[in-house]
Amino acid sequence: MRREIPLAITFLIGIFMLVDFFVPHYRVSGLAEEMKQWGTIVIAASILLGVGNLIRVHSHKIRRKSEGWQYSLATLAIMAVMVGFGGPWGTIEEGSPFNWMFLNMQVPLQSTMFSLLAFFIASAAYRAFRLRSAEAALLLIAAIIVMLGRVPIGQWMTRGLPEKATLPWLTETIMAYPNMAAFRGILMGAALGVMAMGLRVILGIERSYLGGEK
Amino acid sequence: MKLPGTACIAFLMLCACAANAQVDAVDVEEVLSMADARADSVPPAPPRDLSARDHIGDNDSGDRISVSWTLSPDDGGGEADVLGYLVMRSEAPDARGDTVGVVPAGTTRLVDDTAVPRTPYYYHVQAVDSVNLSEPATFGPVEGRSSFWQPRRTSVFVLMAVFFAMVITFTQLAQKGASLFIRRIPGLNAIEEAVGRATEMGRPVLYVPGIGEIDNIMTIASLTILSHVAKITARYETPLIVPTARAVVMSAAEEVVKEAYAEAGHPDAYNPDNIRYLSDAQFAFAAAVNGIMLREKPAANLYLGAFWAESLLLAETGFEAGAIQVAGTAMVSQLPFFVTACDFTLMGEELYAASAYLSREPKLMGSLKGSDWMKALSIALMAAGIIANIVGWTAFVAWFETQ
Amino acid sequence: MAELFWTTVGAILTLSIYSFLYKDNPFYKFAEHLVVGVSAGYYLVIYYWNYIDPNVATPIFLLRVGDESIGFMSGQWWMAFIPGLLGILLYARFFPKIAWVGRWPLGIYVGGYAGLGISPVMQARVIRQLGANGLPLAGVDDPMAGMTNFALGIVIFAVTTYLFVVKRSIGAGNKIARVGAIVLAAVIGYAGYVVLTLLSNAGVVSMTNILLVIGLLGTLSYFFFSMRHRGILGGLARIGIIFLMVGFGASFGYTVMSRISLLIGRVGFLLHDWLHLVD
Repeated sequence: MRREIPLAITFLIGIFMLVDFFVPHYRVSGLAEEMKQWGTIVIAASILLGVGNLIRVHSHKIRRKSEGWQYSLATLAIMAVMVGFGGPWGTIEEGSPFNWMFLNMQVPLQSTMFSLLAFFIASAAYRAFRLRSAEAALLLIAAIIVMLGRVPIGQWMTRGLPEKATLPWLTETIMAYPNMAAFRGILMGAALGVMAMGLRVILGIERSYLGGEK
Repeated sequence: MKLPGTACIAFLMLCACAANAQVDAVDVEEVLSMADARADSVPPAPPRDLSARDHIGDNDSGDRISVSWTLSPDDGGGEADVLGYLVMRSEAPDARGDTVGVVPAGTTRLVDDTAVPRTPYYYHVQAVDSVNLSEPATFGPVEGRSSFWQPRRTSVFVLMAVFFAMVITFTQLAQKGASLFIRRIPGLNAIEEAVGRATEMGRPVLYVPGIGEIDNIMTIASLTILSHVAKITARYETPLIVPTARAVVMSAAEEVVKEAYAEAGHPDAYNPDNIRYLSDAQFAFAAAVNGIMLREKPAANLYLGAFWAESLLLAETGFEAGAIQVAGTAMVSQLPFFVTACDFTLMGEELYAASAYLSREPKLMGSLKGSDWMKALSIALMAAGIIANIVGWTAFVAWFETQ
Repeated sequence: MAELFWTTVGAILTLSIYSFLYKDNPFYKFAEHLVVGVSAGYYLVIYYWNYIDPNVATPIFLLRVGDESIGFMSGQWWMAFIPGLLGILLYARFFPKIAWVGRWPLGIYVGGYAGLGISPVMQARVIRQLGANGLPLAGVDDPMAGMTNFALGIVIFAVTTYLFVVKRSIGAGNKIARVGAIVLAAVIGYAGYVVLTLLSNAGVVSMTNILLVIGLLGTLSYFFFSMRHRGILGGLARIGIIFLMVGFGASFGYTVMSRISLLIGRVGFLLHDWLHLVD
């Protein structure tokens, strides 16, 4: 009983949403839209679970005075400050302290992490020079061609040649043809995997997301 | 009825603003420049083959009717002075009715989305030149209805039904005991080896289930593999760290790992502080996982699930930290980075095949077989499409065009 | 003044993250823990005030949706109450006696989205692609023909060389014969290129469309799990992985420039917004 009810609910709702794609009737579409909204609300409500876990893990560290406990204290303190600024009265509009902290702490930190990718992509490319196999060589050659083809140096390097032998043209060709053919195939296979898995979820065969068997 | 040229155009513009129908943007300058004030006493020929029918689209409450016609002979040919078409709608066949919309020359359809459901209408379409209106072409009665089926998606339905039938058939076969063969997938064997290596070195295993939400099928696939990995780490008492970027994924992971440890007979080895929610923010998550890699020094990093740009950040830092790395994702944009930075990569469908491969459960094997044969069917359909194109039977490929 | 303070804070945090490239250090540790704390607080507040409050709390308790009033237990009220209840049920997991009820919201959410996702995926990734790939193999105006035919000419040359020199060992021990064999292979390759070009120009064959078809065939074969990759299937799978690797390389190369521009953006912030060294 305890296991069957959620599975039955999953089945009914899953089938309903599946059918929504084929039935344009406004009552069906309307209800499906409502239910999609419910999904976002449920997820929003779950944030406290995550924050609770964060608080628990960090307070354990502080209590045990394990290595780096001072940083955990910083995490909890700054979180309390953020919640204090924005929480109780919803003062989250532009110009509020809450918004300031977001713009001047979270945004620069996130953008900087994102920009680290420039360094990492270079180190990854450099390591790929250690050709492990013929396939890696192909990847590398294609990467170099496209990289050069996209910048002015590539155009300059092959400027004298007929149009169809220049780097930018080659780049375009690669992006248009083998790229597209390959991705069509892998996406098609992945799509079938998604559908098979979706069917398994609806039928209740795949239950990992519910956690334990009980 | 004769009106001076520009006044006629102005009238049409007003109608276009007043009506609430789907109208293509009419370039005022263009139209006015064509309004050559030369007196033209010959009205254009009316549009031909006018028809109207209920428009079936998303969220259909029966308020849309699709009106279509073929071009007036004087549009682009003949006198070549047609500037557009005026579409009007009435409830009686001979009344003039109200304007629904105005479309420029060269257009052959208009969707009227102001219809009252289940009311019969008559549509009148007239070609307009700079001075005159043509005789109206009339069609009716036609009603808008809320439909129960989208006919342009029939091909999707048919193929989906075929696919599901295949999956269910093979599942039944598997459950009856037929042995189904799956070829070796190197990446999946590598997962177990990586965990073994970490155990030997006495260091933890880091399992990142991606940053997708729990409704993302990749995340669900990842949780299935996590269950399998957790059973191994439970048996050897290797610490397993699972950082997550979504609260619900964290709680699902907690339950999965706790259950796996209990099933493996080592419930006390389960450490709830190792399943951590870090951040919903993509790069804050990446920063925190990098911190874990540098400080807790896992020897095996498993990246299985949905990843976005942070994939390379994680994989490169893990490489620098000297861990053996296995990745698996169907995010095609991130696969290049995982392939270059990790020791093994499960690509696309291999991630979804993992749950069947690792557990060998009949139901899961069955659905994997179903997918396989659907791929074979797809190849056959593609071949058929090519042949159809060669022999000129275009209707075959057209059936695949959906809305 | 306040702006300088905040910009400096941003700059210090930026530099702390960059220090990570050298090695783990207290600045990075502090910045990392800071961003985790800030984002946790941020999402907690935002999710409540932007999602829960307008859609759940206000309708249920204040009987208001936006500016309109709604009735208690009316249709709209239930539309707010049900998701609110589901959200609360998520926390049932903390109470052993009713923990099982905590599975319901997940069942609805995952099941719903599973059902929702299946058909569009079938439409976009399978049906549309099949329709687009059922291509005419002949008689098409082929803009990329020159490149493809040239590449195929080279492939023919390489394969012929391989066959002559390695497989048949023509001219083993005789350097001149070996060179002659390679030259012959080059001629054959060039002849192949010329023939293909003539065929393309005459509209008899569209090599790029053939390429697309073979590519799709190859990649689908690679993902075929029911049989071992031997024989024809093995050959097709090999072709598939070749296409995949070229595709991955192209994506990789394509992304490099956008990542570098991100770095330029951050350095611009440091030099322009903070230090005012550049314009």
